[in-house]
Amino acid sequence: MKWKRLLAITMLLAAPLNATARLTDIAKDFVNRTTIFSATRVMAPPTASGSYLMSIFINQPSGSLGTITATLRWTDEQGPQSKSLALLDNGLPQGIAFPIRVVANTRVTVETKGTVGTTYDLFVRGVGFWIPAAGKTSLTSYHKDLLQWTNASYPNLQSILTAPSVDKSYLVRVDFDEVPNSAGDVMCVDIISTDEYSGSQTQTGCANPNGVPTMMVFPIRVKAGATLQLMTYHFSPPKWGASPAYNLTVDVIGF
Amino acid sequence: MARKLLASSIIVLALLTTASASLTEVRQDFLNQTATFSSTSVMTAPTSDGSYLITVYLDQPAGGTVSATIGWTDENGNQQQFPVLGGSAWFAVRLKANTTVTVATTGTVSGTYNLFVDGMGFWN
Repeated sequence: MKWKRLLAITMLLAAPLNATARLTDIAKDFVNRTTIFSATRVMAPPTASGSYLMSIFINQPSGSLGTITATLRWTDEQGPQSKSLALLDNGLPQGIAFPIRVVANTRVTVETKGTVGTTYDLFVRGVGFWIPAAGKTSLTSYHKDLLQWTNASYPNLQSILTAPSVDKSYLVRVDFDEVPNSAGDVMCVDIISTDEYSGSQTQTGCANPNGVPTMMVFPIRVKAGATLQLMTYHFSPPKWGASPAYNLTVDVIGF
Repeated sequence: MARKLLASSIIVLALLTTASASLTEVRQDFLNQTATFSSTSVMTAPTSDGSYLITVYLDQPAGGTVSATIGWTDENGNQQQFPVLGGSAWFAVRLKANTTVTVATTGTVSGTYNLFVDGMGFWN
């Protein structure tokens, strides 16, 4: 009897996994590359046409810096499409996120061109929607919401997540809005992380007093054990103190 | 031994459920459309304010001038509307409880077009 009860509990716990199993993740790493490379597949061709949210992140260690352009190519219902992202020799990593459509049985590839400094890293990450059993479903999510806040968090940092004992890729979604007001007080947020080369990375967004939301979606790399944090502040000094009511929601998908 | 294994399985499944249960899906495909359409809901309204990442992908033959408009009501009760003038776009949406995200199209249709609205809901 106990066994049956345990089995029933097990099946009940397993059920929600099936409910979310149609979200799949795509992960293809090109780490410590010393040369450019030609078109390389980043995922298995889907057996049915599908929708994806893809991201590209490129970085390189300090020292001899190169200039690399990565291009993702796919085929939608109208034909071949592509999106490129350039890593410049200024020491700053680059990331971009964008939706794509992939026709059944076609390839999604990435290639690089340009000049390599010492090495570079390229991470292609994505989420596929509604293709059962087409990939793994190890996506996790994290949240940090500041709802109806009326103060800047400055100078205090708010923690969103701490990376595990390995360097990790994340996709960050930010929505930042002020309750419409005539004070003209612009609130800003910094999303702060440390990448695998120990470089501090900050993404900044500012809310509009007219209530139109400021939206950001971007990929990041977070060094093992490092923390992803945020801080809100007034655009006009002083950075601290009372503010118009605002809502800040930060959601992160871990791959 | 078998009992320990089963107990371990329960714990592992419980942990996995906690990790994955906080992502839900949004999907509405408008395939082979031959005409524009007015404001249409793309999801079931949540019962509490929610955070979403919504992507829009507009797929039409060369010469088509169809554009889409995505709209929603945020937690402050403000109506938000953004155009997608071709190609694709994403939106970080805060959605008021019991309201939905909508999409509409305008323009001149050349043959047929496809519009895909996909996304994820994030839940604590």
